[in-house]
Amino acid sequence: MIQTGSVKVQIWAAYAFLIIFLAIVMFPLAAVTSISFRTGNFAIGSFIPENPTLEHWYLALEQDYLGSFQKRSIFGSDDDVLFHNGMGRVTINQKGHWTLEEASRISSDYLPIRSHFGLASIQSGAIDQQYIQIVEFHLEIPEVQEIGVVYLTPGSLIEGRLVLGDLTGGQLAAVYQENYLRIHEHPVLTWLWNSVKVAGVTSFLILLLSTTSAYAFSRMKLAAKNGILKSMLMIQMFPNTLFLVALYALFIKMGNYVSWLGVDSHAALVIGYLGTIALHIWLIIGYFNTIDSAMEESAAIDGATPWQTFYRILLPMSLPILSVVFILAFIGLVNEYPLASVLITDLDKLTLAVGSTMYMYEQNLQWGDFAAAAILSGFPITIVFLISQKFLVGGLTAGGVKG
Amino acid sequence: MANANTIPFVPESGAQSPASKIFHLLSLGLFTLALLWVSVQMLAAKEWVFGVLVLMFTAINFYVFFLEKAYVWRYVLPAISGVIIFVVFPIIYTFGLSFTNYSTANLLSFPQSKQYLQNLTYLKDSGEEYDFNLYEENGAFVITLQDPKSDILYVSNVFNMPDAPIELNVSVIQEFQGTKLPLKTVIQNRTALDFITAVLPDGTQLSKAGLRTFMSRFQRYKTIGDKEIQSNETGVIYRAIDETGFFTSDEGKQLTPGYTVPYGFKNYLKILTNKGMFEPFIGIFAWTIVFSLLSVVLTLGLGMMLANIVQWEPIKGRGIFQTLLILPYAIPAFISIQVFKGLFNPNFGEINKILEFIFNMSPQWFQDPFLAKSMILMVNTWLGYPYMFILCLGLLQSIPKDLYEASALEGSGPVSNFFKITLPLLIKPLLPLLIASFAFNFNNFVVIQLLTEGGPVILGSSPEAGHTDLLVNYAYGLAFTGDRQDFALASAVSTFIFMMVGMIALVYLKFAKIEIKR
Repeated sequence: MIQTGSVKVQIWAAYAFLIIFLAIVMFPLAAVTSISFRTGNFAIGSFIPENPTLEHWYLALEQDYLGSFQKRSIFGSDDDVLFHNGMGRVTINQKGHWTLEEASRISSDYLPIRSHFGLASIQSGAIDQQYIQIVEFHLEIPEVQEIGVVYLTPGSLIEGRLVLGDLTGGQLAAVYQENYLRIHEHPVLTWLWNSVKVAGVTSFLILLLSTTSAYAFSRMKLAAKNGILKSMLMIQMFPNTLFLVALYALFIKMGNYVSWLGVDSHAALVIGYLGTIALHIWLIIGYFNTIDSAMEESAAIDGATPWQTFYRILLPMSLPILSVVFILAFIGLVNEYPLASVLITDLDKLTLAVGSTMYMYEQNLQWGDFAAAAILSGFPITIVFLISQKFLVGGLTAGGVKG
Repeated sequence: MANANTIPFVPESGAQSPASKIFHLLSLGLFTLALLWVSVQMLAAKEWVFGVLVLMFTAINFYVFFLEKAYVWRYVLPAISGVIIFVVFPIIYTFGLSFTNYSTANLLSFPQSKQYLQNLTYLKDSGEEYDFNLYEENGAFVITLQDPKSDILYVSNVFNMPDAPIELNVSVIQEFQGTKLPLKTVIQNRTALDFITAVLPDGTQLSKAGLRTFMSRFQRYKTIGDKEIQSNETGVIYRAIDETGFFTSDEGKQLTPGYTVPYGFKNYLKILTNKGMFEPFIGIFAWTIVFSLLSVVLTLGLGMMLANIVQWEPIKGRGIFQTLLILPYAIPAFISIQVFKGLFNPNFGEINKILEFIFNMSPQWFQDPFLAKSMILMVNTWLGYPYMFILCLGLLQSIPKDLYEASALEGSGPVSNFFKITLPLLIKPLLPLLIASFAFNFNNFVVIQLLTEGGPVILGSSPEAGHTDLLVNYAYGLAFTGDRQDFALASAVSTFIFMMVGMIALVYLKFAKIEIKR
């Protein structure tokens, strides 16, 4: 191809377009990664977080997180400064006298925790590094007594005095570390496992049902098979969201007679998904039709039953399409929201798609926590898709429909 | 591949070995028995629809797996059953529900509703009060009741804290000794204690009136006719009105729970004539069409453009671009939609921070109907363009190269190539896929539910409807949110959607040419 000047411009324009477009497409992913490391749940901040924290990641991994803030309080005219440092209530007055009333409710699992406070002089908004004295607390069973460290036993009231040095020329402020404990409330890993379990078992069953029927459709004499297949494909265009009430009623009834098939059970979810197989059957038929049936015919002449021909000859040759159907079904099921949201209410039984919506309630937005949980749980599924992408493309184009 | 000898030799043509035959019959027998048991139980409980359904399934299943001549159907029956039980039957059931008044207020059958009302009791002001104490005995509980006037002491049997109503018989005792539990325990168990009806030897029913007292209870309604009940408290008579499914007094006061009755076309008429429903419904319908159309057009346009650029010969790094462009499709949609929900948040979202910084504006994405709709379309385009990109990429590879070479000789540029060669060749095979995509977006429940939940609310709509609701979200909202979950009304909306989707499906089948060629 002859490259004229105008073509060169077009090439550069194409590159520029692709890169700008990709930047826009990637923006949400980059943003959510950044947010997952920011302090607090409504964190607004620079793209590279100033004080990166693993708080949200701890919670996403079902660990509790003990965090701390560095704070300061400027003394008013003659008020004391009062604060909770996670161990108890600290009162400190301008003369340097302090008391700590131990009122910690932190379970001993999280000990030891440390905290400190002191007095400082603030000069034009910045802390003058000349701290007079800092008291450090350890809440733990004392083994080694360190100098300058106050050890607490639960229920104690202790006090002391900080020596006031030369603090003139600035405002007197208490500087302290405030500790807080965040208990994980969302069982993200359990949800991920639930999703993988339900989607895995269902995909396997779907594979079983759709290969056997595709075999019959493709190789056997069956009355009205085009009609049946067409009807099934047409029926599949009705999403289950439209008849959730009926499905719900169906599973309530089933649960009355077969308890493990009732509402709030994974078994119900698995069999509730078994209606969506027409597309997979169609995909597999397409593949079976490309396989020459000569081998099967000779096997039949040798006396093999239709089932043996299917199981021993056709299936081993169809592994590529079987894996495509499995992955497509699996990804579709992990993403399924409506039926799972209606059938499952027990927090520990939720699938990831439903559980992930627990973060973004208007009244209780947990944006930072969601970000970490979303990356953690979305990552494995994304990777599976990207790895199998090459095989899936054929399935997506041929499977939707034949052109 | 001519080694047909590797296929194991089977001695008797087409026959099963005795062992596998026994296994086959045994498992079929057990399965059939289990299903029969379930269907008999259902029929005994007068669950006619479900009982007959299970019975039919049992019979067909037995027929197909028992008789040799139905052999072929063994391969397709499980799949077809799945479709019939979990799609076709629910669709018919939904259609049926739309002609009833089935909702949380009218959930029960007439006898169940009447029974429920008859079981209601109330405490009379003039009723007898009994002092009540809670004791512990071997980890279980005992209650004592004492009539303060006659000082007669009653004691109950040992019981565990119930989570459903129970009756406890109490008997006269001279003196009772046990570990008396403090008031704190009574308070902790107060919900469980409310379930208890204590029955005195003379049949008087008592239940908890306070933390220290039980009082005699009286039946609230008594039957005075097959379809009439009377309040013992006020003397008002309530008649069962079969048009509405409620026991109703002459003044029009309805008792809940009501019962399910055939409703004719009332649900459909309600949608068409009720002002709070009709106008929002038309708006939602129009938005559903606009949303589906624009989603298809935007994702197709973007996907096709990107496929053409990536496929263009001079562009290098095709593999990386391809993978990165597909990325939005690889991420689970429920995650990316909620990520956008956070990013678009006007208060702390990243998008408004950037807009504020550059243009000094802060659009209210979730308050303004137009902005909410634009946001949804943007997010849906982000989610959907990779699918169109993948499709176009595949189709582009099948266009013969010499067509472009010929046009290059004529001096055409890439843009005119696109409109003269590529587009006409792509559209035909894409058409059925575009129809399928339209149908998918027509019912794209998840993107709306997770992003805006239909909001902002349409003023004056009743029951509540949202500006960004699709028909399917509207139906879901009627059935599963709000105080009165109106399943029947939701089913009427669903029936309307069934018809729409049915029409789209027919068009799709016409273009898709589904035919098994063998």
